[in-house]
Amino acid sequence: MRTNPIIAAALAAAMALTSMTVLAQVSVDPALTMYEQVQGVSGSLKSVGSDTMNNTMTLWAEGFLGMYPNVRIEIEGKGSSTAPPALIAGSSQFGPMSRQMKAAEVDAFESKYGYPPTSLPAAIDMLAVYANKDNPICQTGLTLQQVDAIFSTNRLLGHDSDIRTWGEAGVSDGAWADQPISLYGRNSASGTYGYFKKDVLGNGDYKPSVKEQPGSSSVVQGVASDAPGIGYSGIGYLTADVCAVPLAHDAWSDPIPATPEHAYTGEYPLSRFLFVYVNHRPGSELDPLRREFVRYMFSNEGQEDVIKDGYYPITKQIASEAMEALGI
Amino acid sequence: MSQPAFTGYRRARKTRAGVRIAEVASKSIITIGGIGVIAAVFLVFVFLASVVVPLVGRSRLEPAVSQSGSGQGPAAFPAAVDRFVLVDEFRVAAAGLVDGGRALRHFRIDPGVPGGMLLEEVPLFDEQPTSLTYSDDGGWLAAGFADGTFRLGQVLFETAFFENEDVPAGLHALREGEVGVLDGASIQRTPIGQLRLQRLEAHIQDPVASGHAGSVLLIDQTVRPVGPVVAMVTDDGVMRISAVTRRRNILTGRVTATVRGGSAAIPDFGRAVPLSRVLVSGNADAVYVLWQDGAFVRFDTRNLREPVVAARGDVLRDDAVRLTVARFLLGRDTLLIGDSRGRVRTWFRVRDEDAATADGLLLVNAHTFDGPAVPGGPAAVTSIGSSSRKRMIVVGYVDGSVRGFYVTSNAFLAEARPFAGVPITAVAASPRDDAIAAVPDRGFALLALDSPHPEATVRSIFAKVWYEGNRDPEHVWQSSSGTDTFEAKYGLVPLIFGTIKATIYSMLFGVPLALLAAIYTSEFLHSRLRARIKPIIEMMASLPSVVLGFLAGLVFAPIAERAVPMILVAFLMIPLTCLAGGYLFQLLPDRTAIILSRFRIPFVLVAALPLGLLLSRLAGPVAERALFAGDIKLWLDGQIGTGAGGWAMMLLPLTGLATVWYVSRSLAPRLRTLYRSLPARKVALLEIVKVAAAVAVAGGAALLGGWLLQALGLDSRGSFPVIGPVLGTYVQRNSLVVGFVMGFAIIPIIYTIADDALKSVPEHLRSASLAAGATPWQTAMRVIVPTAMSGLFSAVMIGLGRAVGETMIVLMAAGNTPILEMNLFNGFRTLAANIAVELPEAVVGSTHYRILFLAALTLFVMTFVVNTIAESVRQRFRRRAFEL
Repeated sequence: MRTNPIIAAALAAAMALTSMTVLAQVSVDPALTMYEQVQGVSGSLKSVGSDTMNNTMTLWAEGFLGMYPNVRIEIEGKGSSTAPPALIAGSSQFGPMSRQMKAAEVDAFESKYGYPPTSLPAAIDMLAVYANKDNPICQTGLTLQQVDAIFSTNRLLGHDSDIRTWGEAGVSDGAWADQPISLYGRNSASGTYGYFKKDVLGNGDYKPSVKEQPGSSSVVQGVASDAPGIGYSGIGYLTADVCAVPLAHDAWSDPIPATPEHAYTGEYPLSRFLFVYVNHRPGSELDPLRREFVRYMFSNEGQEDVIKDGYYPITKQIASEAMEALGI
Repeated sequence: MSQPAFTGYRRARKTRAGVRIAEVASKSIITIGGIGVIAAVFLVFVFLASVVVPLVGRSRLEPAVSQSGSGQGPAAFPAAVDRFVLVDEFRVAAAGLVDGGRALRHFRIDPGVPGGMLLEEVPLFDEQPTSLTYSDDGGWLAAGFADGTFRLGQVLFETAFFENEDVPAGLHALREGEVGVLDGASIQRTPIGQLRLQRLEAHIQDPVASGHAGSVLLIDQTVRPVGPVVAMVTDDGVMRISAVTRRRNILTGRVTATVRGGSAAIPDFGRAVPLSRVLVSGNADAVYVLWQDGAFVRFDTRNLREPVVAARGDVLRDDAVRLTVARFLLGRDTLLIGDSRGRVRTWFRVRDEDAATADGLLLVNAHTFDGPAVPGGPAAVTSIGSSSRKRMIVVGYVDGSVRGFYVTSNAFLAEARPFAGVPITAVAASPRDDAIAAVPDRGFALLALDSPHPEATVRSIFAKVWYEGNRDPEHVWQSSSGTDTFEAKYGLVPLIFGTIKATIYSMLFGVPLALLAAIYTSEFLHSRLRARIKPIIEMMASLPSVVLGFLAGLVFAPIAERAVPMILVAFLMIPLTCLAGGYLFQLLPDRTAIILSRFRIPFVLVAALPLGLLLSRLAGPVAERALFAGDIKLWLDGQIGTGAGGWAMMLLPLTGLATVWYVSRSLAPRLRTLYRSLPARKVALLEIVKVAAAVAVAGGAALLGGWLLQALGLDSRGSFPVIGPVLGTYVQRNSLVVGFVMGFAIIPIIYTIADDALKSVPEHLRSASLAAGATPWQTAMRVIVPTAMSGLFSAVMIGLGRAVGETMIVLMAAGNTPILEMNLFNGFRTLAANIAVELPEAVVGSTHYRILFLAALTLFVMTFVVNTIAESVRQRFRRRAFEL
């Protein structure tokens, strides 16, 4: 049912054994209704895109297949940038992306179809900065400027000096203070990489010493096994071996823990939408198969799947706006 | 087939037809296959090159639409406060500011309509703004007024789609690409037959008070994800900044807006020279106030409530030159300063330890772009436009010419002169960077720009490039980001370096082991055991490299991290225990020795190897305390200890070799005469003493040397040439781990080819040597190895080829850090791993995509060169071997 790149498969297998999602209780907006089955849905769907959203897509597919057993769904998750070419070529019907399409990608789509692709905000992700669970920084937290100074060569957010050791990041514990910080990050094919670069580094450059990992789970795994490590990834990959460091906007405000309530209020500095892109001709009706899949994504069950995968569900209002854009 | 030699016999039978056919067939198949292989390799080269070649294509700028003179269209541009021109995404319509900044004029620019066709005039403000700024990137507009208020807004083309039945019949006949008009907006047929309407919309917000009752002289704004920041200069000589932060509660949909701001007096506000611009940086952490003579004041606005003067200076540094245009490059960090001598210079902030400024930042001039030369000196810059996607700028000059430049690569792209002698008053790049719009006093021109890969030049890929925010030009690979405002950095040098680094460290580990193993199994091992061991080693090659990479990255790297001293000691200890085992074996009585000699291999496996590991484990912490100040990672990081330990480690191989050389050259012959008169047991004992003494001498000499070098003030870490860079900060995913595991991948290949090469040395050479009284060791070293040298060499070279191209192991275990350090204890990023990581993301046909193909081509050329050299060296060895 799924065709995964071999790395992601190997990592997923390893991580399934070690990871246990520890998330606070979140519930789906009660205004979102349960999915109602309809007649005459069959055919095959293919989704190509984000690795961050791979599991969510799989959960949706499983739920959907439970209702429509004669539908075939194929899911590839190699990175957000793989979504636009597949959508343009028509080889996929859905393009999950953890960032919005870039102008050049929209151009390429428009030059073939004349209209831009439709983006559906389908889940909310909090980007977390992970540290080893024993690290005292888990209690004290970091400012965005400090995170920038840890990860970036340019420090465009304006921290005064480079941060190389945990002591320079404000850890006073003797055993930690001298330890050089070991950096983990996502590979440049991922939307997470771009989002972090844009919002935390202010479009500055990553230090070349950031170890680029092929998947989100291997970032967390790296930080879990490497005591002075720090890394960033979606909140969905939080395990018991690491902590999500509380983050503050600046030195004058309080650090805010990476919990759902702070994501919803917009206080936590790093939350974003996860998108699913669809090729929808404006003014026309979506075919029943894609229409029902979108309705499932935005149903109560679909958003339960989002929670199951460690992200946060969207609200009724967002769902209605998205479905309106598709004429559903 | 000339004269057949007479042998006395005639061939009894003729070759059967079937055999002949088979011979011809196989010969032709082999020939075709061989040629096919060469052709395939050549085609790979041609394919790679064909993707790469467009990178070096020249940029072209050609007039697409040119209109001048009178008419109801753009030709009627009156003087505006702060002129700008914008073109829609599909190059169908354009708009410009008219009526002193109170309205926008929207007109069609398709070539069929002379003079351009007015579509609509969009009102902006009721009264004339005293200052106005417009940003190409996002269409953001800000205007200040004489009553001390300012208004923010956005100007953009809004798109809607229609089917034929939704529009008046007059538009039904439009063919693909053709443009029509529907109530004041342009409408165009799309490739799939729909109609796309583009309407110019201006969303202007309500006036906001600046905090001062007088006139707003200058204004600028930046729009951050959380809201806009506006910087103003008011007529009381104060710089005011105010930021609106909007946060949307996703649950309730309510938006909370907070306004923060501050002000600071502008020093020397009352100068005789008129003010030019106020500019606020993208992150709103700096505000520049510029005068027309190039003088500037930079405010540090990181704390918006209390802006402080951070620096003052001059961006022209020449009193005779006037500043004509000042604006930001895409990303709002680099200042573009155009002057009356036709130059556009870029200035950006860099960190500098010695900077005399309040915040430690220095403004530096990185690039200078010259304008056209006209009679009477260079033509002054009159307008600068910045692309909204790339770091491209378009510049209009007083002589009516337009030039395009690419900032990062410091490249001049193209030039055109649509209006000879008429000053260009506004110039802009189209949203897709496929055209330049230029507006003189009267007229309008659209110039088609064909410049697909301006960021790629030979220099920008292989040489150091001065990127925004860096103190100096550097080699950097950083190819993508979430937005377009980021400066792509395509320096291939770190990747080439990483490839070489990976190869060196894995060869250092793999080659000695594989070659020695091959020599041992082919020359010393019983053939029955050899027949078993060889397939086992070859089995290692069947391990998929992704599995090896996975084990290396997730299992071996964390283990190795905890046992660095032990691993370093083990490199020394394991050979020593094996050596000790060998010498102890000689102590045994002859009979027992002969009986037990069959179990030499199991002995090494069962006793010497585990003993070595155990000893390393015990000695590891001791060595760490003695040589590396008790914590090797902090020592490597340069925080504690002295360089002596590192020197000792580095010197040990040298002193070891020197000792061996001394012992075998001058000590051994003398001992040999002594041994003749002694019984075998005593000889064995003496030998052990000799080895122990040699080890002690080598170790002692290394320690002494280390101490001496350290005493001279030389540190083995850090800046010391050649050796210093090898010892650096420990990182979990490092070259040591990769070298170790990549050894697994290359050892089987090198081993099996080397073993075959040694075995194929004619048996009579071996027998002759042994019969002449040479020991097996002498036979192996002086007869067999030299004869098989060509085979051994090609074994190493094939291993090298594997190491250069190996992808999955380095991808998963090396951390993929594009750094230029030889440090054994940190990672690297190879060309192959980089292609694997980034090719799936690259937009097909983009610069990034083509540069990845260039990386592939580089890899291809590297292996091709190495293999060619290897083959010619091998041929030479072979000729020598044949002479035997």
